[in-house]
Amino acid sequence: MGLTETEASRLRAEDGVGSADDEKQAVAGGHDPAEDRAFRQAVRAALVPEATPPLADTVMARLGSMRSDVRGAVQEEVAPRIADSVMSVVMDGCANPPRVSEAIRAEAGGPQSMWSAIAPAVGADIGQDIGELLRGSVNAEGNFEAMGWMTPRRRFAIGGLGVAIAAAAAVLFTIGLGGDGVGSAATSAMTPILDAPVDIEDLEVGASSLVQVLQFGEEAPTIIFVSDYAGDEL
Amino acid sequence: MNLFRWLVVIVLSVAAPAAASAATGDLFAEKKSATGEAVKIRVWTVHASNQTKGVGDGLERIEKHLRNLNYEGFSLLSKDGASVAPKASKKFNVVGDKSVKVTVLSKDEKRARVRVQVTSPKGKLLDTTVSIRRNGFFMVAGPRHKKGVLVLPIFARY
Repeated sequence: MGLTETEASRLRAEDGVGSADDEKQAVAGGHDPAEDRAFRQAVRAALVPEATPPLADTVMARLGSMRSDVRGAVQEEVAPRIADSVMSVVMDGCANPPRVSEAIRAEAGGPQSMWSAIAPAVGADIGQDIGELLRGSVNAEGNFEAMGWMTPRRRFAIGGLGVAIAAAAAVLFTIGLGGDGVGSAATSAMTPILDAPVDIEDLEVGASSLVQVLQFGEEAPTIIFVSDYAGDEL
Repeated sequence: MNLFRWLVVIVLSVAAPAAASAATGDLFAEKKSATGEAVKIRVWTVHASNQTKGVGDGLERIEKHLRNLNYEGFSLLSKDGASVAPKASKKFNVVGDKSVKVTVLSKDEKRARVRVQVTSPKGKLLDTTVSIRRNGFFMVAGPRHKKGVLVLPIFARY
């Protein structure tokens, strides 16, 4: 069964691949290409299932589980050890392998002291002890002054004997004048004061206070300075 | 007669002071026994500030020590003191409703162990135990007072 020229033109126009002559010939044959195309779309829509059946699972069920070891296929069984190869070439014929570090030291000799070059740059003599230099610099930089803090190791001055004698005389004199042990201003003026630091055995301050222990000299009195954060007046 | 009169005068002039000194010596001995074990504690109250300059009267002996503090003016507010026996305490009131309680813990020939407690109405400011050299002193300073601070020289004499 063959198609006539008009039917072929109608099919091409219906498929959307027809030319203008096909469109004209279909129309001339009494057909409307637009209606034909609409009819085809209606038939196609009616034939399309609502849910697409999963084909992948069916296909994989037919094929079964299969793994392809691509890495193993491209990898050699044993990786070549290049270092061993090189060393085998280098050590070929050597009964005693050479020790590179010893060879370098033997070639270069013992290291020379760098202090001779550094000392002039830092203002030191070559023969000077660097530790002593550093300690001196630190003391000079920090303006360190040896001072005992809360230690009883202090000696009376040479004039202590004279002061002690004067103190004894003043004590006798004060006993003679004092009434209730509280010296008057005149009595106090006769009493020598031995400026001596104290030993602090225990020191506590209030929660809002800060304390500092000051000592302005070997024979100066110790000053316990209490700072109150809250600005409270004593 | 004149010779006898002169002899009487000489005897009286020698004997009377001797008797007086003997009586005085007894008094001293009694005084010494009463206060022999005690330590004479003195608490001065000094106001240090920059509102004034110079050192006030009565502070000449500790002027060089006060000068170490970073203030230009020092004035003596009060002097207080008492004889405190070992194991005994004495409370001194200072300006600002504050108090300084001094407890003599012990003493020996060279030093006296003293506990000093400075308190304010708000609570404890300082509680320290120090060992003061005989006839020595130390100072508690720092609490604020009238645009300055208070300095409390504390003396222990025995």
